[in-house]
Amino acid sequence: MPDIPQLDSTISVVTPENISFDYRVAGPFQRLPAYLLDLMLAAVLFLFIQIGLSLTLGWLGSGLATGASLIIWFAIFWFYGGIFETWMNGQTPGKRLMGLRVLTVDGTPINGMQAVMRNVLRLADSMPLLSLEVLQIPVPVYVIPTFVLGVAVMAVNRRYQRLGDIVCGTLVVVEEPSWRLSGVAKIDDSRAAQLAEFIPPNFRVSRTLARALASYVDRRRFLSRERRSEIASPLADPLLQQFQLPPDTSPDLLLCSLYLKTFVSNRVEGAPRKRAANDSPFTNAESV
Amino acid sequence: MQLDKTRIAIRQRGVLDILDVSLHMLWIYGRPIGATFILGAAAFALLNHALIGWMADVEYAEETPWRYLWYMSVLVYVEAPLAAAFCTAYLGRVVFEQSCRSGEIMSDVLGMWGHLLWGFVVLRGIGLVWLLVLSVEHTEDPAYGVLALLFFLMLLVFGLRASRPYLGEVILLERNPLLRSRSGGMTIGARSQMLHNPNSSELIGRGLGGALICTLFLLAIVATCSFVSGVFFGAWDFGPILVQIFIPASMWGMAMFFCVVRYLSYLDLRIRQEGWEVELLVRAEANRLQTRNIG
Repeated sequence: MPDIPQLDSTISVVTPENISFDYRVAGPFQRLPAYLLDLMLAAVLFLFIQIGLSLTLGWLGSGLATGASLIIWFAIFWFYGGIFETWMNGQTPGKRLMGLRVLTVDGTPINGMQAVMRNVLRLADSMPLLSLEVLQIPVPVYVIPTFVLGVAVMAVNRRYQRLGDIVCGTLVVVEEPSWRLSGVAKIDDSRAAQLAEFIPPNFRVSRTLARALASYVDRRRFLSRERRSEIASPLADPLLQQFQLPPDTSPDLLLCSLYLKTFVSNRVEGAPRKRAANDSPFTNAESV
Repeated sequence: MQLDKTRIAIRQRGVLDILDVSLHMLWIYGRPIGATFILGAAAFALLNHALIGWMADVEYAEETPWRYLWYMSVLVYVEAPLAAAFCTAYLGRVVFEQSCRSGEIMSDVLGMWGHLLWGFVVLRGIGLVWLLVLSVEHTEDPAYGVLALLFFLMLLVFGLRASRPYLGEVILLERNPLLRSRSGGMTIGARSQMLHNPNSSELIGRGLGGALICTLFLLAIVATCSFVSGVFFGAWDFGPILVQIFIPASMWGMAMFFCVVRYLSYLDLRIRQEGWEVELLVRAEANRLQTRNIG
């Protein structure tokens, strides 16, 4: 099979300072709601300006008001995105609401020229344009965008760049609160800490096993008891044999104790050694 | 097979992210996805032409053959999951970097062919739609009765498809039996119920959203086809090339795209509901442990 990188919407961007960041890039479907919101906002903005013009310039003559509104429409149509993305650091109101931001391909903020150009070039991405005649309006003006070209271009590159993005060296990323420190998961069942003491001290946890344990403990609270047992068993069963623990030990509890031993070894060492008689860790009762 | 080394990053995704990744996946794996999809869809496309091709003929068609387009939409919509069987089997293998020889994919599908026919032709109404379409007389009479019946049948199929969208994936990839054996075990119906029922309202919402996106996307593609037909063939109106070739091909193209979307959504549902990504990691680690112990 050809060596193809794992398919994902996350890409690594290396800044000019040689620092690597992982970003989730937004494709056409993630951008669509933001675009529609901006379109609505632009229409509302134009409507208010139109009303204002009618009230102020209307008395000077309808021709003047029409001319002014055409100029305003031209300005909004071509520069709405560019102005907002310059002013709001890569965001328009729609993008801000949907948590998107435009960056350069090396992860730095975009400049005014890039912001304006990528928005002007949206016209190329919206090709082919259709005539109003398809809506039974007898005016042969090609203004209905299909965006098929833009979507096709986005589909063929990993960064989901449309033509405007490729020309300007930009991409759209999803802003995520990636700076959360989740810390060590809390395991309420004290038997896990007790069971951890029975894991042989010479057992070495590999990186991949540590990752599997961390993922398991992170997700287990969302799963039913049966499902926890089902997931944990394939790994817990051979480990129980290896550690020479009773075979009816709860698989879930074993993985939790292994997690504690791996990530919270100090706490395990300091865990109370005194155990109640009915509080044996070797029980198939699931931990909570 | 290394369960934690997949061709697609296994993690929870939103609907829009799934649509984006599907689009990119269609580009990366376009050739095998296209080939396996055509393998399933070609027979249905020919059958549809045999069933309703006459409606597009000039002597029956109006200026725009709406009746033909409506029947074609219904047929493609109900047949799409069955036509996508080979493609789904391929996706099920390629994600885990399993070998994807055509013989293996064929045997994956043909081994479950009876289940698929029962699930889709009988329960999901494809057979009924074929019978209804066959009953239409070859005249200009639009047969409003059949049109209305087809409309209600399509609503019913939509409801079934929206509430249990991953029946094809359950049949082909989980390979449960149709009937409960003496020793017990999970049947297709029970598995499907277990997977779909806890999320039914969300799945119906996704189904409606998917239908809207599909319609808009299809209209954009048909409009582009019309543009291409106008530019290259000088035929700007709804001519035979556009109606009988480009539009059905666009519909099948959308069905192929949504086959990928459905597969990724199925993975996503299993991840959210069953902690599937964790299971893959744990199983992969168990395999490693076993290999180490044997070594």
